[in-house]
Amino acid sequence: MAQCSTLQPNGSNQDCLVPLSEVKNLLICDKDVKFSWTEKDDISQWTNKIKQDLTIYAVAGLDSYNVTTDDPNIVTGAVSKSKTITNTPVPSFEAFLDSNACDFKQLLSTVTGGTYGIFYELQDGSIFGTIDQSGNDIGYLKPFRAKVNANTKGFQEIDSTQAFRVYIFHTNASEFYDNQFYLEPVWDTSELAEAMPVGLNMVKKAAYAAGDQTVQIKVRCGDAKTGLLVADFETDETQGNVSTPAVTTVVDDGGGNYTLTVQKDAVPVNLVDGDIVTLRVKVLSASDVTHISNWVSVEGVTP
Amino acid sequence: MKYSINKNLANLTPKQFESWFKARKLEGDWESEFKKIGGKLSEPKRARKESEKD
Repeated sequence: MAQCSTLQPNGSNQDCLVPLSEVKNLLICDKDVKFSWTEKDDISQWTNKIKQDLTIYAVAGLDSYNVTTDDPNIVTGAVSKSKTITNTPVPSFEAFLDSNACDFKQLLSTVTGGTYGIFYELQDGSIFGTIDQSGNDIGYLKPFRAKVNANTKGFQEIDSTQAFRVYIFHTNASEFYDNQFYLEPVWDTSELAEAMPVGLNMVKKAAYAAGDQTVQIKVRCGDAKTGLLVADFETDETQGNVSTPAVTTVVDDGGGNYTLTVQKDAVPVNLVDGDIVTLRVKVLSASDVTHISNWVSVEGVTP
Repeated sequence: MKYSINKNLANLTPKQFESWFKARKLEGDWESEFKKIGGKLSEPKRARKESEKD
């Protein structure tokens, strides 16, 4: 049987009762995101993680949500007939995003049930997270650990706004109940969503041929993105299987249509059967990412 | 045709860049494009000193 502590209510707020504010928005994070005691109050520390490190995704807005945390398990003693709570359910939520289909499509392919960090922006302007009180990170503000899974049943149901759904299943009850922390920043939390890079959608127009991959690039659910240069394309060696993958030339065909020469090796040669190069658009202004697209996989073809 | 070339290709030798450029069938002059991305063409031959002249 659990030992009970001596009752120590630790005082109360004599002026008023402040009701717990509703959730206004979500910040989905890399699970290792953290802010030191002084960093947490500095908005540039937050926006840098959004537009430079790309480790915080500030959702555009929240339409509504349901609390899906299980009720505690209450058992009645067979003999005593008195009730006892036998567990501490871990919090869980189902959130409905105020999104467009194009942004949500990216979330669907990215947030697929892995463990992420979650901060909650509350209606009163505060940010709800957890404060580390033991180990190597004492005093650091961290997001709650949660399994996050984007999901949709497809079309919006009639008179509903619940198509863009995100499930949040917390993995640790203690950080939610014992070490919760309300950051009350002097800045407006809406600035976080405004710091998000513009999302682009890149699609392949045809198969790779003679070194070239044709693509069309648009602002998500928007107009063609014109004027991109070779420096705006990024390849990822870890997601492909060739050495020194590179976009070596970019021809702007106009209207958001581009011909990318995608090659491999230090002295560039065309890709062949079995080669894969993964690339995306990542436009930088100094260190800030201003535009970012989905990853596209280019598959080599032997002529 | 408006194109841009990856600046990492400036690390190629002029000969390597020339053959890459011609294989890509890009418009323009490979030497000026090489210079534009920061590549260095071979040092031009030094003019003979006055004293070395016949």
